[in-house]
Amino acid sequence: MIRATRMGFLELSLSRSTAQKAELAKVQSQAVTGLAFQRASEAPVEMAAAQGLNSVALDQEVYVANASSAAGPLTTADEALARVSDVMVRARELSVAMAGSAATAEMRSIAAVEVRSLGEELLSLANTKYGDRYLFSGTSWNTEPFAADGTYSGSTDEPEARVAEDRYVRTAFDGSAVFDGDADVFAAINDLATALEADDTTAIGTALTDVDSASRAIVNVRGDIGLETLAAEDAGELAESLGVVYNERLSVLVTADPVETYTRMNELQSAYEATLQVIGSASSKSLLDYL
Amino acid sequence: MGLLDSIQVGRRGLAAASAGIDVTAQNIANVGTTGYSRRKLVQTTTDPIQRRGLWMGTGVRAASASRATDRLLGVRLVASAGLASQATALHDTLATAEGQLGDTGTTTLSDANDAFWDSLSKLTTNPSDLTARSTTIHAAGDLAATISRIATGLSATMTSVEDGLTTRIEGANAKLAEIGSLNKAIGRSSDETGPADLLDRRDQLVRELGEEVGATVDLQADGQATVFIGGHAVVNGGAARSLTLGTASDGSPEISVGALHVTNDVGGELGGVLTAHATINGWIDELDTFTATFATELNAAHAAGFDASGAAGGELFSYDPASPATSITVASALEDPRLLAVAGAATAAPGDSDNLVAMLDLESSAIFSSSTRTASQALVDFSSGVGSDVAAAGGDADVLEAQLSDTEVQRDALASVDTDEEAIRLVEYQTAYKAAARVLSVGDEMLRTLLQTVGG
Repeated sequence: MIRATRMGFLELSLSRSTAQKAELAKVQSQAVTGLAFQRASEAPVEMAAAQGLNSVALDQEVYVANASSAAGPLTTADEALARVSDVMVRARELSVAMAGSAATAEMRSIAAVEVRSLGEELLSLANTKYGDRYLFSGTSWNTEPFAADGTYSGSTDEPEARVAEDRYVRTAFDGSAVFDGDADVFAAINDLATALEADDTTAIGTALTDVDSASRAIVNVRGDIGLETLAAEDAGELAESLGVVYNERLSVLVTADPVETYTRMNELQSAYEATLQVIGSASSKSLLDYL
Repeated sequence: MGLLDSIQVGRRGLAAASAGIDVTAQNIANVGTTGYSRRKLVQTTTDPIQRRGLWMGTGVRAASASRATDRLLGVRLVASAGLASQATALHDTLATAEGQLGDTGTTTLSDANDAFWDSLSKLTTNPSDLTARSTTIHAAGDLAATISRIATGLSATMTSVEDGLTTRIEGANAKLAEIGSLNKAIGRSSDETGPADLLDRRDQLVRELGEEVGATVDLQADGQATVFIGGHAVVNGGAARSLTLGTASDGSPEISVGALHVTNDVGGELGGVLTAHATINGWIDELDTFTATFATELNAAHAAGFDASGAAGGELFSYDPASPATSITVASALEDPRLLAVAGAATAAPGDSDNLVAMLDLESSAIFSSSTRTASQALVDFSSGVGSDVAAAGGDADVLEAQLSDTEVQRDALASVDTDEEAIRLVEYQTAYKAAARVLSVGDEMLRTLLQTVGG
């Protein structure tokens, strides 16, 4: 039989109550902070997972903000090109009307004035700004891209904003590719005006073909920009959804379940108090009291 | 047996009971004395004598006050105390160092790293914006400061361990010398009960030495203790050797006994803090390797670009190659945000973010841990690695403390004083004393009766 002594009992009680107190302090800390763990040593695997989730959740916030920033220039560029298309439609209407025999030299002269005006509007649209940024000057967005004669001074490089880990969208465009890529838009309008001024129906016919080509080129560019706008919107929406998912998972991982925490805290508190009661009652009585 | 013999027997009984009360009193007085082993009175009958053809008993004598002890348990207790102290000191030191990495809610390495890369991402929307450039430079500065703060804090923990080593070794040496002296005194003593107090004191010192430096003990039959550190005898009989503190060729602390290096053999708290010192040094090495790779790669990428005026990029981070983590800062030239080299061409067009994109590519590049991990992953690995080290040390400490507690309970079961038990002994000896006194009283009355009869 093991000799049970008061000292042995107290030693065991001390060891047990110390362990209970440490566990109770840990759960109390969880209850106060609302966090399941505060240091990696408390849950190394969960902490690593939480840091990874926090990192990607923060990335999503940046992608949402970047997609939102990119939407402005993309939408403005699209609107500018829509108006360029309108200009080209009007130029086509004029060229069709003036190519026929019903038009007189005076009518063509008046039409030429309107086409010159359309050319000026086109130049203004090609020099569209978003804030202080020229949208069709590539990365040189502080330089006016097109001179009055259609000469391009912008950059052929295009700036890109990051909207996902491996997805960038353009936030300004190479104007030379937009207005002088598949077809020279300025030349088409200028040639039409010159042909109208010269009352040259053959040249008007040729200009019509060029205006058509230029219109198609603008439509194609608009299509590209439209797709890029959609891509930016999609990336932003996806990042927003992913951000919610990652933050929810992060919250589940790092938040101490209040019900579980309080239940556990009460359990531990009761057990600790019971241990103290046992120590107290065992210490209060001795054989010496009865002698 | 004569009447006088009975009186002698009564006298001896009285003396034995009195000795029993003395031993019990000593036990009760030492109920709270650390390391005290309870005593038990050993009584033996005195030699019989022959009277009128009969062998008659002559009473009792207090032979000794035996000390409740167990050699194997004593040896195990010293070893167990050493292991528990070592694990606890290791855990406590590592946990203190882990605090340098910050709790949840403070800026951790991972947070600072995320903020840096996110600032680069944000800058892609407007690379020439000076406010956004300043934000990026600040984020780079915060990351460098976080790395440096953590590495400096870890170094400070190592320094505090080093500062405490001299005191620890001086304390251990004092105990080694005292154990040697006590061994001598125990060896000289011929009285069986005399050295009990010396043995208690010596055993308590050996146990404390076990806790402090992980000494182990071999208790000899003559009561002397041979004390070892890693198989090297540091106390043998009355001769005690000393531990000395030096510095190894790699700059780490080195413990020796004479010409013998015992750094890897010491245990207890000293062994625990030395292991913690080496572990923390490993953490700093890991952080240094990360920092050097991170700064080198980012600097190379930054240098490949052009700043706002079209000049080639300079350093993004500055550091001392001898201690990259503690010394890393953002290059001082970058106080001017225009010097951030985000452009890919010397024309440095305001929207040119080609080099920024090249730098951002490094975020997802596995350039750390032998080209297997990205920067974020490497930092998460580092933090969780530190956490795992601390958690493992904590787990070991819990197990070894529980084992020590079990051994202490066994030791208490054998050697501790129990007041109830002593109270019973007190009653027992008191009753024996009263009875022996009664024998004397009866003998005295009988003698008086005889004398009155004879004197008649």
